[in-house]
Amino acid sequence: MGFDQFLSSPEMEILIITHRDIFQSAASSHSRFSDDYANLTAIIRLDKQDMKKAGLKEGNLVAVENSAGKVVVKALQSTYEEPHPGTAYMLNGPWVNALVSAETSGTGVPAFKYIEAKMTKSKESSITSFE
Amino acid sequence: MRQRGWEEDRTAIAIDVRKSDTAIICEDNFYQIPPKADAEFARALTEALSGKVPKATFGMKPKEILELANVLKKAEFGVIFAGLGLVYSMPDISPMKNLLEAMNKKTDFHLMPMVGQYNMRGFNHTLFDKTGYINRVSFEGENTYHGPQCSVVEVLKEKRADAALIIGSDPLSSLPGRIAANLKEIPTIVIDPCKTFTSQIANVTIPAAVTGVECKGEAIRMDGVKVELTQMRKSDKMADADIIEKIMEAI
Repeated sequence: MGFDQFLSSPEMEILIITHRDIFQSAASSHSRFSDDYANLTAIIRLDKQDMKKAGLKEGNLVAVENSAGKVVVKALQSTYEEPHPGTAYMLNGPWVNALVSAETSGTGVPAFKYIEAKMTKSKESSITSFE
Repeated sequence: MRQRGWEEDRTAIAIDVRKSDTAIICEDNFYQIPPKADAEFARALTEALSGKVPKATFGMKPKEILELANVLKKAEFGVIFAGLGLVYSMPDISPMKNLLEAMNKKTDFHLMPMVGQYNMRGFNHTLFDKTGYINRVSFEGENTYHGPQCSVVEVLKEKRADAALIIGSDPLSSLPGRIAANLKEIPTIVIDPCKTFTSQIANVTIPAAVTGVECKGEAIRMDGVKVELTQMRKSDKMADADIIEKIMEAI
């Protein structure tokens, strides 16, 4: 039994920006239920320093939560050269949409691309399933 | 015709909140702005195009914006590809309208909205032809209504729909989670060539033929060009339009 479980993992406030990706779109048209699709979509990409601060290693599972909902996804370091502390990136899909508020400020369009949430290392053994 | 051909004489500029694949191709012509700064950026660029010293509070220098304005002014024919983020972050699109007006005083500039899925533009072309509106149309009784209150998000949030017919779309995946969950409480029918998150919870699923593979059809590309799709292989599945026609006949 590891010692890790007795260490508290710090909670971190992050801003999630969503985008689309051609490889994910291709996996999506093949099958929304494929591992490829989940492996590309149930991912949060974080700044290198943010990973360190949250006590995360590449591929650790994180719980991301706000008033709209909660999901467990895999944390990976972002591929951007420039640092972007406090900002994380996710690909459009059911995982990140679980965190999108229903509030539209009268526009009829929710804030799909600007999501504030809290993130901690997760004790779950797998990502959130939508099947 | 251009002296060095279109490939050489074209300039691509990316403005984004993240360094996208497109931004990487644009190299030095990439301007990263903070989230929600779109309106301010459009306003600053409009000022620069109108010969004023632009103001931006998010770290872009006036000189940078003026230089960008100069590049745009020199274009003979320009297109703005507006991403989904631009629509989501701007409750009021007047800054974009003003920007296009300022650009068109100097040169010929157009705007093309980007869409997230195949043939979204085709759907909206048809909707516009029939109703004069784009997106968010309600057909209650004899009249058609349009506006934010008719958006699928508002309709599902307020639980105004007591049944849903979903064609070629996966709202369980693409809507905010809480709103999507409301679909599980009402009878749903899904017409789609694919198994989707929504088809899994649907009361009735009708598999449709894939247009351009199992049936012929038509689609409109993001740039507005109509594309004829031909059938590539035999299939006993029906096209979505034929399925709807049969349902209408039965009703």
